[in-house]
Amino acid sequence: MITISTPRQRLMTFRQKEKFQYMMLLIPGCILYGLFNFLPLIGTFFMSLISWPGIGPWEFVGTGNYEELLTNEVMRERLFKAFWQTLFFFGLCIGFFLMVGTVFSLLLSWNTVGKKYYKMVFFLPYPLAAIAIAFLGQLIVDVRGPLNQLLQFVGASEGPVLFLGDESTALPTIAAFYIWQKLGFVIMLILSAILGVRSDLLEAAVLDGANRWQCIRHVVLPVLTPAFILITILIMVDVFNNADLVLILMGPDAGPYYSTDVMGTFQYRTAFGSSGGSGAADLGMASAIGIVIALMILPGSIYLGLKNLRDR
Amino acid sequence: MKTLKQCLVAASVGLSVAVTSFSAAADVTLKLWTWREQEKPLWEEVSKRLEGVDIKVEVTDAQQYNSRLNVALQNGGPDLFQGRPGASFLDQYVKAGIVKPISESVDLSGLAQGVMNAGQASDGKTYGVPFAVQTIQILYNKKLFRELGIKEPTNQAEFTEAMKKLKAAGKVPLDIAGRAGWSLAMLNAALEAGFLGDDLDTIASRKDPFTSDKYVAMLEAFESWKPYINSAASGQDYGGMRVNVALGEAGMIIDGLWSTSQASTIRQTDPEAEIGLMPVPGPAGKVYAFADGAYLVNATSANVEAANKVLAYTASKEFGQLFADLVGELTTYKSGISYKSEYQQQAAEFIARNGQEYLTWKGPINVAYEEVVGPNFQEFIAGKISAKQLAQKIETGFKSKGL
Repeated sequence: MITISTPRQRLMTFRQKEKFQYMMLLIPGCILYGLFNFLPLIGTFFMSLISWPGIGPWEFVGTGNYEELLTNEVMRERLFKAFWQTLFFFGLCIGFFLMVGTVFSLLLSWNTVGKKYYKMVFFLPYPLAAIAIAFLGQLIVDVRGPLNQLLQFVGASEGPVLFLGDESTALPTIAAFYIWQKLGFVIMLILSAILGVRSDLLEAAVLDGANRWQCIRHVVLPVLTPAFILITILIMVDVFNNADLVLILMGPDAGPYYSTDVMGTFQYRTAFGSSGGSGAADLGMASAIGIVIALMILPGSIYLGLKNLRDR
Repeated sequence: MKTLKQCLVAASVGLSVAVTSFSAAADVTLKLWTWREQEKPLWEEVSKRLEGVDIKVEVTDAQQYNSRLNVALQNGGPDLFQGRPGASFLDQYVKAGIVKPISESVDLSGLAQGVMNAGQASDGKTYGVPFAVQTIQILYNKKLFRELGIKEPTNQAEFTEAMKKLKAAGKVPLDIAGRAGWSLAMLNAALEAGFLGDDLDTIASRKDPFTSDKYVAMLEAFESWKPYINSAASGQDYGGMRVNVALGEAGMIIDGLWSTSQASTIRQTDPEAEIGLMPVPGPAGKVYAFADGAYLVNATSANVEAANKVLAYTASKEFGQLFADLVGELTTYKSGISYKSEYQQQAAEFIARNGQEYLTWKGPINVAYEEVVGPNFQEFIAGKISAKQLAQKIETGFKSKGL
């Protein structure tokens, strides 16, 4: 008797298995993101509906915090001032990162002499704590610091330049410290993208008579777009949410006269009061500011994220 | 023999257990939070003198003290803590049930009545024992004054003359730390005491606006000092200002009595620096004085009884003397305290002779004062706004805060 064996019914098709595997790989990331990002965001939203100094009973105020933020003359003025200054800070940093960072990355991608030492020098400030960056930066730009001595020695300035004491130079100076710290990280991201460019494409371009600039313009730069978008999103989120350098150097008052006030310091000051232990603390209002910040950066992040997906 | 040995072992074990448990019962460890590093030696001494308590002091950066304290108190927190002066700080802790009105075991009769509101909430009840009377005045480099033949000025004309001489000698006559808003609020409070004195009462109580002629006149007088103020005033930090007067780079600064203590930047820069104290030489000639805060007991602590014992001790004359000797500042105990340092003696004399009750900075409107005065004063010293505009901005700022 001949028995014909039939293939066993598979539980899942290859496609289904593939999707399942993708899903399983995504789950740990989603859980971590949900726990440490999404849930606090929801919590911040609920907190923005109360008035609470950080201790004792709280009071439900509904949309009162949002109304006050947008209708109280002082709060509204501070909000918009902080927003424009944050945008200016972000513009300075991202402009420098994308232009100078790309140039340095390209130079490092070639067989430059001593390139591994350059890499180390560029990356060195990145792991340093913000307090160390602020301290070193302040030493350099101090009224009696080496930069002022140099400027006066070469005759570029008659007296000392108040880098951190003048409203027109304080924020760009802090932006320079920030750039110094993060540039190494940006270079690493761009460099890894450059190294990911397929060498056969470059060889083909060279065989077709393309010079070095044409290779960069038509082969390398298009491949770098996802890295640029990633850097833009990361820096935007960081600049809008954090203010460690301003807080260390200028305190929550963000002086001189709020000229270094960014969204992070505005939120910190609202949450915990100003320097010297005074100032009204209101965590509810600070949460409302946090939600407003999230709403401000969300459209930009979504647009850049979608553009990135579309370009792939 | 074996039984005897067993008895001895049992007895020694029993004894050691008893000793351990006795010492555990005897020494209750209390945690005390402060932003004042200079109080560490004081609390070490108090731990030795007070039987049954061992006080562990935790110092937190002054700027982050309030926020860290709030977070800590949500999860138990310290048994004792230092609070900022007055109702603007205390009310939130009263509402939260963290502090309770002071128990009858604490005798406050020995303390100066003028400082009691540092420990009182807006309900008028006393919740803490006020500590450290501070004065804000001009600190000047005595050696520099002596070398340039400058006598301590007693009026505006002499003050201007002194500044001219300092400037001619290539020194900064008056160094101001304009980077931090709070230090400018402190400076403004010193000006208010020196120029307005008791006349400030009607403005601080908001009967008269900050745009009153007398207030504007005070700011205009300060404006006339600008040629003698450090050119980098708006970028100067508080530490840098104190270093300059210690080194003799600057002749004068406007600062608190705390800067004369051994733990201060001035002493750390030059332990031998000769520093003199004088009131801001305005028409009123008063010195702004206030209590730095109040010792408070955490009512939710498991060691309330022991903490109250310590609190009662802080109101005693013995503690007042210890405070004067080991912290080097003025105690809130009103009489019978001997001050060793000349700074303490001079500041005590200022208070007795021409002390200005604190009405603005550290006073009832403290919460808004630094926030309103600080940034606007920064614009003023940078020459962006005039004295009149500054007065207007202060007035508008208080109004926007419902004051």
